[in-house]
Amino acid sequence: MSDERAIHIRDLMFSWPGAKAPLLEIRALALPQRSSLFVAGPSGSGKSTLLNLIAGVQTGYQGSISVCGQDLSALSQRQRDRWRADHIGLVFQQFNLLPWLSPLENVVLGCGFSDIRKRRAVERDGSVEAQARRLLDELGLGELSETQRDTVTLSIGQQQRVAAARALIGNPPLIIADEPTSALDRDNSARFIALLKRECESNGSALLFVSHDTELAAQFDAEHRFASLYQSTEIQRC
Amino acid sequence: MLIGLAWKSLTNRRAAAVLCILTIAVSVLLLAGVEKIRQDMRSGFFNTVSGTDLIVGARSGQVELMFYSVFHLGSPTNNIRWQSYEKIAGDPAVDWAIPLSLGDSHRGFRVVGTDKRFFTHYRFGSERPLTFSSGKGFDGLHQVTLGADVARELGYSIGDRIIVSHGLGQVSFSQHKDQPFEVVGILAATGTPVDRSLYVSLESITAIHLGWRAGVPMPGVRIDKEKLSSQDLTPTQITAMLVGLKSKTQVFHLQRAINAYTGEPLLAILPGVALQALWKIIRGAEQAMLSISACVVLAGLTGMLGVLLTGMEQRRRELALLRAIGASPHHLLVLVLIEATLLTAAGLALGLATLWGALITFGDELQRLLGVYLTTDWPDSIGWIALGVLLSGALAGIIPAWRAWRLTLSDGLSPRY
Repeated sequence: MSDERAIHIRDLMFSWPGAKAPLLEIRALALPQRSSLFVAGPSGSGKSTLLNLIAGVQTGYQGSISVCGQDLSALSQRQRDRWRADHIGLVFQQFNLLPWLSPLENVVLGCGFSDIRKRRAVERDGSVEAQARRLLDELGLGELSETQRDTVTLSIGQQQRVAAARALIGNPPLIIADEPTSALDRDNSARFIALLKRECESNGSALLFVSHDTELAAQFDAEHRFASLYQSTEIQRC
Repeated sequence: MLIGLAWKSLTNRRAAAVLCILTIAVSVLLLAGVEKIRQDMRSGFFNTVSGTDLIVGARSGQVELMFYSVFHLGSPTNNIRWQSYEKIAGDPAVDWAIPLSLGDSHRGFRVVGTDKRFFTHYRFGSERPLTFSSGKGFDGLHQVTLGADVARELGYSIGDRIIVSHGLGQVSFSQHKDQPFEVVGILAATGTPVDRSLYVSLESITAIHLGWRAGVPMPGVRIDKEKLSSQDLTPTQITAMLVGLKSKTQVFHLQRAINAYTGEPLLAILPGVALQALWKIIRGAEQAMLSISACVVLAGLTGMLGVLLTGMEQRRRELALLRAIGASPHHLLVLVLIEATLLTAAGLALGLATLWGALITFGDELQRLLGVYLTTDWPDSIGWIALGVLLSGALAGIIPAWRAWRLTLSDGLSPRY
């Protein structure tokens, strides 16, 4: 593969059909493998659209988006869904878990649509369940893999950690976290980010972290800021 | 994996799912039940006289002859002479011929004068012979064998003595009081008119009418019972006869010969053909019943559609989440279709299980209530019913599944409200 970056965006322009001004314009955005990028911007700045584009559920853009070396525009919708299942783990702000599955089943579901991730989990830990248990354990939720606790009884902090385990299972090369800490208090938020970063590093996954809270930016390798609705600048840190 | 997810998602929405399954089960129960009764009624009807090749009576219409000779409804127009019976019974093509003599009754039930061989040759259902729940067939003068309904409704048992009335009314004023009959046997239920009849020998019929003229006893004439057995009690006429042939191929030949008989005007009919003509009259109601129950199934499936569609709004987040994990809209479409199919299949299974449970547990009561001889076999069309319901269920699932497809495409990773 010529392009080894987890995400590489060039000359991206996206606008809703019929809208005069583009919603999103990014000249260049790159996330190298095994590194982390903080994307900040006020609400309405097109962050969610950017994530939909990277995840391959939104089409109709100009420019190019590659995820893990694959140009998304070359794939059909089904292939993009497969690509997402194989390469991207997602964590959202809330409602990350299916309430009718146990926490462990929710984590295992992360491999549900991807044979590659299933295989990787089996190679490393013997079985998908074993890896799910290990991840829950490392995220400080060891007791959840033993007890049959109902998912809806978990605290938000616990739910976010289960969601992180689900995103990480099967070692996807890219983790995208969309405002995962905005429902958490400051202490829990810091702890969650530290855990997520540590797991991404030990997993070898790149991390794209999206938040409106620019105070969090310092914890990541690089920062990409949506200054206004139409422009974006990249702040590189070394 | 999708089946597992669909199952867990359904068990999570247990109340709605159970309600949905119950609705479908009730409608399937009704549809299969109606079909079952329809088929058993039909086969019971067509097999009221199986094994009989020809029915012979005085010349009238074939439906009329069928009505009075087999269903014991209406009155015979005319009798046929004993000589005619003997002539037909003696034909080389005839295996057996059973005379029937009608005209008397007991508390609303018809008394049939016949021959002992009636019990061995009469067949109903799929060639089922008559059996006795107690006792035996009549064997001599003043002995009577009762149909199952007669014994049950009037509370008779072996050894009871009963009096036969002249004529067919429920309340008859001329009774054969001087010659009471003894109950010697009770037949097992058949679901045919046999259940509602009393069987005596032809000789008994002749005996009780000795000394009668024009339907009333002649005053002053007393019958000495001791002398009866030594008297010739061969009847001079009978009402109809059932004929069994040695070879079925001769049936049309013999029918033509009887219809062209010069001794007196006779009519020979093929029971199957006559029953077919009769059934046409009932068919409209039968079809109506079936279409109503099909509508009930439609209502049941519409209910499921409602449950699935309302569920879809509440499940937008779930669907978006599954999509984020890597499910394609195609996966989610299949997921919802599986749910619909699971619900329908569960409803179908429950409905059919309930029907057969009821048939096995309450079969006898149902039989008494409906007057239909119910078997515990599946109706022939059960496969089609099951397939039809399952397919319609899956088809109904397409609508919410299509909605799921649209929602996941427009929502992307997070629901837009």
